Amino acid sequence: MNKRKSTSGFWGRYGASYFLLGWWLILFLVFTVIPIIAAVILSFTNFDMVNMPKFVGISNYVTLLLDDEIFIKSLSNTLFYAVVTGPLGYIMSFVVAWMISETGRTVRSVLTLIFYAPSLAGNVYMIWMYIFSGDSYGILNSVLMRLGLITAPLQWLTDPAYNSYVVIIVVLWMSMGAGFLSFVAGFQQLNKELFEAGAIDGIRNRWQELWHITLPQMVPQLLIGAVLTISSSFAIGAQNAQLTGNPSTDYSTHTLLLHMSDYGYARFEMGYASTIAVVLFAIMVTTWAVINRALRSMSND
Amino acid sequence: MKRFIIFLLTALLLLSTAYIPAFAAEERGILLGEGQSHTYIVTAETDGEYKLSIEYMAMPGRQISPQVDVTVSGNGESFSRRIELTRFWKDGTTADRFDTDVKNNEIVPDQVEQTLWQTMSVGFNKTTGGAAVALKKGEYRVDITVAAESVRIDGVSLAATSVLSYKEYLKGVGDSSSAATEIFTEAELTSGKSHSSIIPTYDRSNYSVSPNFYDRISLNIIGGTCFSEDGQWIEWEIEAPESALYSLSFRYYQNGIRGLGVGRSILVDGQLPYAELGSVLFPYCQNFKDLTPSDDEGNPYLIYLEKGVHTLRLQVSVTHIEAETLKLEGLVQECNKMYREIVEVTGTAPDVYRDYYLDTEIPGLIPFFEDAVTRLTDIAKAIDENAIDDGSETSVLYEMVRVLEKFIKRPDKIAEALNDYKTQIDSLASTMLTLKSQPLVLDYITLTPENLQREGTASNFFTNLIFRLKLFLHSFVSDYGTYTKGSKGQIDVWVNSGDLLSSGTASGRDQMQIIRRLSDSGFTTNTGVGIKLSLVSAGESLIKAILADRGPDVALFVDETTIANLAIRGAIADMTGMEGYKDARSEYPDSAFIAYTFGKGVYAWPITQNYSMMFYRTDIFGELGLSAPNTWDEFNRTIQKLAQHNLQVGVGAGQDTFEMFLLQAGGNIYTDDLKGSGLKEPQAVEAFTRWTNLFIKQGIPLAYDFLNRFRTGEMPLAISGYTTYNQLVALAPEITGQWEMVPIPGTYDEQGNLNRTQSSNVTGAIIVSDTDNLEGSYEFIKWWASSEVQTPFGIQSEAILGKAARYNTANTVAFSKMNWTTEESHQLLTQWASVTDIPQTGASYYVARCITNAYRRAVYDYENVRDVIYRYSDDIDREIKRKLEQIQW
Repeated sequence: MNKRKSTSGFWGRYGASYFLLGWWLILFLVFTVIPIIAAVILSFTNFDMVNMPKFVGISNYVTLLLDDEIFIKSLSNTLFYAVVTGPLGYIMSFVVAWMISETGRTVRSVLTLIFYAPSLAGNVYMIWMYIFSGDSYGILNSVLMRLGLITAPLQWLTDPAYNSYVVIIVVLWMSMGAGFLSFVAGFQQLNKELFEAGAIDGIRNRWQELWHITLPQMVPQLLIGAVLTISSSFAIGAQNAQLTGNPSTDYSTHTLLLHMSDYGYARFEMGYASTIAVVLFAIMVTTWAVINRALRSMSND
Repeated sequence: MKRFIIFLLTALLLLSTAYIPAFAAEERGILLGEGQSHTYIVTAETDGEYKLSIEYMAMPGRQISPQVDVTVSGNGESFSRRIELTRFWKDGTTADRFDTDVKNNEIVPDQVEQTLWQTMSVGFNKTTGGAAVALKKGEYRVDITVAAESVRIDGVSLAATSVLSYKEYLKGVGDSSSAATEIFTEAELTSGKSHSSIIPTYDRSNYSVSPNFYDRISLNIIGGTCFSEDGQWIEWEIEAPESALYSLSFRYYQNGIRGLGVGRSILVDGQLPYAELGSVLFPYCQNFKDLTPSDDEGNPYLIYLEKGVHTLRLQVSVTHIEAETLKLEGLVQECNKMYREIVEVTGTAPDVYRDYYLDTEIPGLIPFFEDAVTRLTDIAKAIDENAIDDGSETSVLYEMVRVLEKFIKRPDKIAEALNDYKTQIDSLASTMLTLKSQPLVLDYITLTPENLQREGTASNFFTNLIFRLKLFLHSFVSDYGTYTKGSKGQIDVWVNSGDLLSSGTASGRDQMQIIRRLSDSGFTTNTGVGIKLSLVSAGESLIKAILADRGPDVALFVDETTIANLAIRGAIADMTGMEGYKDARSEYPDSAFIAYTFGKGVYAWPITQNYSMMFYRTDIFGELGLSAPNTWDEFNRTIQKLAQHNLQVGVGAGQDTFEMFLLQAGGNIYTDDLKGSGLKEPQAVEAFTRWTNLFIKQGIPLAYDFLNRFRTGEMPLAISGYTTYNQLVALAPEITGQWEMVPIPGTYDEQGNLNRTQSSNVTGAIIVSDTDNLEGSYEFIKWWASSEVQTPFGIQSEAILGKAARYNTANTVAFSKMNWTTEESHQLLTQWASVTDIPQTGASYYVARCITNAYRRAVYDYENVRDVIYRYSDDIDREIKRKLEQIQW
C-alpha cells in the first residue's frame, strides 16, 4: 500500500482544495455577494444614478411598506402569479417528465426538447403577441369573431380585465425549464431493484409506487426544481412588460421585478429600487426555506 | 415666430431656386422645369413598332431622376406613360479603387453627378410599359410634361425598333484578329450608373469573391436590391487589347427570383448590338456563379470590339415579365376595388352565419370573378412558359384562382371566406412586386477573345474554410470603433443606433460611415479635433456609461426622455454656452428646442423632428365624392361617411394624438410653471373628450396595421407620423399616385384661423458635462448642426439606404434640399409651421402612463371621461410634488 505523503500545516493540507475552490469563490463574491451587499447599502440612500448617493436611513423602507400603493399592488400580483404558476408549473413539469420517462429513448429526447424549447429560446413568447393582438385580425380575436362569440375585438393585452390571465398562460407555457430537465434526468436514475422489492412487499398500483418509491428517491431533483420554480415565479416580469406594456394598464400585471426596474430606470431612483430588491430577496429566501423544510420532511418519511 | 417665418421663406426660396439652376455651359435644347411642358411633332415613316427616343440632359437638382409624362397622339390614337429620365452618376474616388479609412477598410465613395447629354429609347404606352408600340404611318404629336426635377430636352423622335439579329450582326462586323489576353473588370469599379443608390458593397462570405481580405473590408461587389428596378443601369469602361470578337462572362449572384431569373440588356457603347442581348436572363443561384450569354446550343454570343476603350452597360430589363406584371397590377387594383364593394355590404368582420346575397347585391360580382379567373390563369400560364427554372412564383396566382372558383360556386360562402380573399390579394400584390424587382449582384466581368478558352473559377471548400476561420479570429482583435487623430485632442462620439433603426433604415453602420466621411474632410481638417465614432444603442446604456464615467463626449440621436433625465440631473452641458449659438439656431424652428429647454439652458441640439400628417387615398375619396377633411368636425363627418361604406379611419391611441386636441384647444399638459398638471383645465377635459369620443362614439379601431389596411383601401384615411411616407413609398408601390399626405385636421379659433397645432418628437445631440474637451465638443455640435452637414448627411443616407431612409432633419435649410416634390414639401412645411412641443419635466414618464391609463379607462370601461381625467390629473400632481422634492426642473 502506498501511503500518501503527509503534509503539515493548514495550507499544506487544504491549499489545493482552496485553490480549486477559489476561482469559483472569486466569481461568486464579485458577481453575487458584492452586488447583494451593494444593494443593501444603496437601499438606505437616495441615488439618482448621476449624482452621489445620499444617506436617508430607513425612509425608503418606510415609504415602501406604508406609502406605496403600487408596491402592494405588485406584491399581490407577484404572489398571485407565484401561487398560481409556481405549483401548477411545478406539478406540470413533474407530471410531464414522468410521462416522458415512460417512453423510449429517442421519443423521450424529442419530447424533452419540444417541452423545453419555449424556455430555451429567449423571446419566443413574443408569438403570443400575435395570438392575443388587439387588432380585429389578431388570431384569437378573429377566431372568436368568426365563431360569433364577440362582435368587436378585445384588447387582451392592455385591458386589465384579461391581461393577467394572458400572462399566466404564457408563464405556464414557459414553465418547463431547468427544473423539468432535472426531473427528466431524475427519472432515469431511479433504482430498479427498489421497484422489484416494492412489488414483492405488496405495492398494488402506480400511485403507491410513485409515492413510496419514486418520490423519496427524487428529493434532490425535487428540491432543485422547487428552488428554480420559486426564483422563476418571483422573477416573472420580462414577459409581462413585453406583452402587456411597461407599465401595464393601471399596473394590472405589474410585478415586484417590474416595480424595481421602473424605479431604477424610468424614475432614476436607484436607492428605492434597491430597497425593493432587498425586500424581494427576503421574500424569496423565506419562501425557499419553507419549501425546503417541507420537502426534507417528506424525504424523511 | 417672426424669425421662424423668415426661415420658412428662406427655405421656400431655396426650394424654388433649386428648380432653376444657373447653367450657362451649353444652351442646347429646351429647358423644362417642374410642371412645364413642350410639344413636339414626330413622324412615323411606315407602319410599324416604335419607341420614343429622347435626347436629354438631367439638370442638377436633387438626387431623384427627372420624371416626365409623355403623351403621343395622332391617327386617332393616344398613348401616355410616365418615363424616368435617369441621371448619370459616378463614384467620386481619387484612388485606383476606393478611398480607405484609418484601418485600411474601403469606404463607400461619394456619388457625383455628371451633367451630360443622354439618349433614352422607351415605350410610351402605359398598358404595355417599356415595350415598343405599334403605330400607323403618319404624323404624331408628342406632349412632354415634366413631373419632377428639371431637364433640358433636345429632340424627340420615333425610333423604329428593328435591331439586328445575331446572325446579321456577325456578318456585319470587321475582321477579327486573335488576342492574347482576357479583359477583366471588377464589377464594383464602375464608370457610371443611373442612380446614386447603386453603390459598391462587400461580401465576405467567400474568399473567391474578388478581391477579399480577412483583415480589412474591401468593397468587392455591386448591385442587389439597389440594382433591381426597370431602367437602372451600370456602365463600365473596358479596353480591348485587339480588335476581335469577344464572349462575355458575368460572375453574379441572384437569389431573388427563382423560376424566371432576372433580366438585363447588354449595351456596348450605348447601343444594343443585336436583339439576343436585349433580354439576357440570369438564373437563380445560391452562390456566386458564372453566366456566359449563349445561344440554345451553348455557343457563347460574341461581340466585336475595335481595339481601344469601350463602354459596357448592363441595364435592368423587364421585357420578359412586364406584360404579365402590368396585367397583374391592373387585376390587383380591380380585386381591391371589389373587396371594398363587398366590405360595403358585409363590413370587415362579416357575420359568417348570414347570407348577404352578395351575388344579387353586387350585380357585377360573379362575372368579375369569372373574368378574373380566366385572366389569372392566362397570366400564370404565360409566366410558367417564360420560366427558365422551377419556381413557385405562380402558386399564389393559382391559389387565388382556387379561392375565386369557390366563390363562384358558392356565393353564399363569400362572406365567410372574405379574409382569405383579402389575404390572397395581399399575396398577389407582393408577388407582383417580387416579379417586377430584378435584383442582381455582380462580382466581376470577363471578356474572352474568341480564340481563347475561358477558365472558370470554382470555390475550394477548404480554402474558404480557412478564410472564414481567419475572418472569425480577426474579429477578436479588430476594434470596430473608427477614429481619426487630430492635433487638438479627440472627442468620443456615440451614434445611437436605436433611433436610426426605428426610422426604418436597416443599419446604423452606413450612417456612421457617412458621418465619418463628412467629418474627416469637413471637421477634423478644419478644427484639428479628432473623432472616435462608435455605434451604440443608447438610452439606458448611455446613462450607465455616464454613471460609470465611461461615457462619450458627444452622443447623437438621443431621445427626448433620456435627454430630460440627464439634463435635470446636471449630466449634460448647456448648449447656450456654445460660441455662435444664435447663428446655428437660426436654421432651426423654435419648436425643436422646447423639449430641451430647462430654465434658461438648452441641453441638446435637435437632429430629427417627427410630427404627424394625414394620409388619405385619393382614388377612394374620389369614388365616394369626399375630400380630405380640414377640421376635426369635417374629420368626424368623414369617419361617418366612410363608415357607411364599412371603411375605417385610423387615429393613434397615443399621447401625441391627445396632444393635438389639447394644444389646438389651447390647453397644455402642465401648468405654466411646469410644477403641476394642466389636465384639469376645461380645455384639457374637452380635448380628452374629443379624443376618446373618436373611439367610443365613432368606433374607430383601437388597434390596426396601417400599412396593410391602407393599401387594400380598407382604411383610406389615417393620421400617422410623416416618416410613414417613407414606408408607403418603399413597401406599397402599387398604390403610388393614389394617395396624398396633407396636414392634420385643425380647429378654428375665435379669430377664424385654422389651428393645426401638434406636438413633435425630437431626437438630439448632447454633450456630456464632464467631457475633457468641451471646446472640441461645441465645435463638433456646431459643425454637425449646420445645413452644410445636415444636407449631405440626409442626401447620402437616402442615396445609400434607399427611399425608406429619407432623413427627417430638424434643420429647415437641409429639409428644403431633401428629395420631396414641391407639393409634398409644401404640405410638410404648412404643417411644420404649426408644430410646437410639450416641455419635458422630471415626471414626463409618469404623465405618459397616466394618459394611457386614462384613455383605456374611458375607452375600454366607458368610465366618465371627466372623472377619469380628474383622477389621473391628481395622480400626476402627486408625482410631480414627490419628484420636486428630489430634484428641481
